[in-house]
Amino acid sequence: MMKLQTYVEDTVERFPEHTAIALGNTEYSYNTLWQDSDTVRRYIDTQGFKNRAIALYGSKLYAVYYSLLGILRSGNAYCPLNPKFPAQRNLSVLKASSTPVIVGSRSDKSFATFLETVASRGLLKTQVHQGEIVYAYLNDVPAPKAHSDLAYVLFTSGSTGSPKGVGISHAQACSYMDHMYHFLELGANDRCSHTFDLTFDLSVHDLFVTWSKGAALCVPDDMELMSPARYIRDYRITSWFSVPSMLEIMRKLKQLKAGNLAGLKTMMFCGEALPYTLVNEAFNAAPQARIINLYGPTEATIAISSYIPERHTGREGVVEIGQVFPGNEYHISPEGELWLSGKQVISSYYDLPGADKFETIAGKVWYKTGDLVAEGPEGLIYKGRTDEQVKYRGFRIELKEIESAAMAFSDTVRTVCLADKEQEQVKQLILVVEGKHDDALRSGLLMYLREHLPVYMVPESIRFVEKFPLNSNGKTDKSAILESIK
Amino acid sequence: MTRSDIEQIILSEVKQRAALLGFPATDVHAGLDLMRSGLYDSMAFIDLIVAMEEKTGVEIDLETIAPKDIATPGKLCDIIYRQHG
Repeated sequence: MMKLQTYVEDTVERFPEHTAIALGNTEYSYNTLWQDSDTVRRYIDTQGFKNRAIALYGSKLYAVYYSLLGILRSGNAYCPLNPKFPAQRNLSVLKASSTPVIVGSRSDKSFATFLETVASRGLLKTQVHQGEIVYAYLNDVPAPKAHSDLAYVLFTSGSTGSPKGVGISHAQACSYMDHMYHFLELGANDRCSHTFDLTFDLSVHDLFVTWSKGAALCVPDDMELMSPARYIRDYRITSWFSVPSMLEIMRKLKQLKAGNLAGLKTMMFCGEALPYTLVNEAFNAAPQARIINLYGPTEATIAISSYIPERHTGREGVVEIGQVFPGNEYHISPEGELWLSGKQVISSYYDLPGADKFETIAGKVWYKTGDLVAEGPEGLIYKGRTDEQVKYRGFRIELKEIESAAMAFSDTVRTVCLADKEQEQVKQLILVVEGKHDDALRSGLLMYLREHLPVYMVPESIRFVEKFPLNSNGKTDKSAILESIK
Repeated sequence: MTRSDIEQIILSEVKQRAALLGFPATDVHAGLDLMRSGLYDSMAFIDLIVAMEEKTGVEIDLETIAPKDIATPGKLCDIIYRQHG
């Protein structure tokens, strides 16, 4: 059966000396990547783990990429931990994924710090150093749930207050890969951007689509990402993939001047609504490029639909999310909610099998996305959400998760979290506390939220409203609160 | 505009964000690494640059200036002051 790493194995045979990864001024060939991943594969093999989620700590380091490949080759799934997330968040992922071991890089100082925290909670059993790689074994790991063919496990924002685990199988990931392999005009001489953290599933596209073609995966650091056009030019990127917010950054920095991104052949966007105004500027900057808008929740494996906008259409609003990929199907509920089923779509959460996001009809499991859509002449059009989930700079956020975190800080504090939007784009997150202005409470709450939530979920502003207004149903009237603080 | 004027404009903008995020104002100084300290993410940093362009009238071209060369209020100030002439 096809595995995600098979795409890389084929490339190693065809293009052993091509660059697989470009990190700063250092380039690693496919041969080197494959051999280094083999050291990790062999070590994990000796430990006897199979079909387990193995935690992988780190970001944008060569050792992390070959470890990821080594974990997959050993017959296990990787579960990324993000150094940018608070330790508390990564600890909750460790617990929910039932991982027996964390793999990380010895020269990554933040990994050593994280392991100190793991040890201070009494969770660390022992550490084994093998060259550059550290294997940190954990105590009291709950029995793993029965999974087979698992490729990766990611955690997304959950409205109950704890992140939800999504386990994606090789079969699901390969279904996506097979489609993309033919859909994208990518070759062995292309150089592809890698803007996403491993905790964001669009990174799976970056790694494996690039490596399936023998192209180079170019890994910008956070500073380089601050000036995308400069990175594209300096690293001769031909295929760009990011959230639309990165395009917005380019616009703000006046980097979308005519012809400024002339080397690009493809620009792909996913993760949030893509406005036509930005697309038109992108066409102007990248006259040769094909622009592709992708859509898909983590539960449907990376992306499940696409639309290719044309130049000079004079259109406005947001770009269509288009046609669903072959092997998958959709249904629009009477309320307008998009339901998905098929080869790429999971049928339960990794850690919450009974979640109400799934519906079985005539033996077929549907994932209820919560996205409202309409059918247009050229495919699906995004219309909003059925719930309070928002996309902020491409990150998926349940506002209730932020409220739950505030409640965990103090259950006597009543809060509502609001997303301040302009033209459907979230501009900032605001946490509103009921009661008189209280500086000590405000700083204590912020400190707590920073320690427990990823930075993109920490509200930019905390405001106080003496008494929350109620709507006609007697519920807290969020829109009235938003109006009152603006 | 003197160098000190420019530095004050930058620091006051940074302090406003610090107050919003509950960062102690005493931690804000010319040598603070804005991104590494966690006070700014890339989007907020770009907004800071755009705001500084508007307030000082100096264009900060990130295609020629490496972001690491404006990582602190002091460094950002140096670049703006040099171009302000």
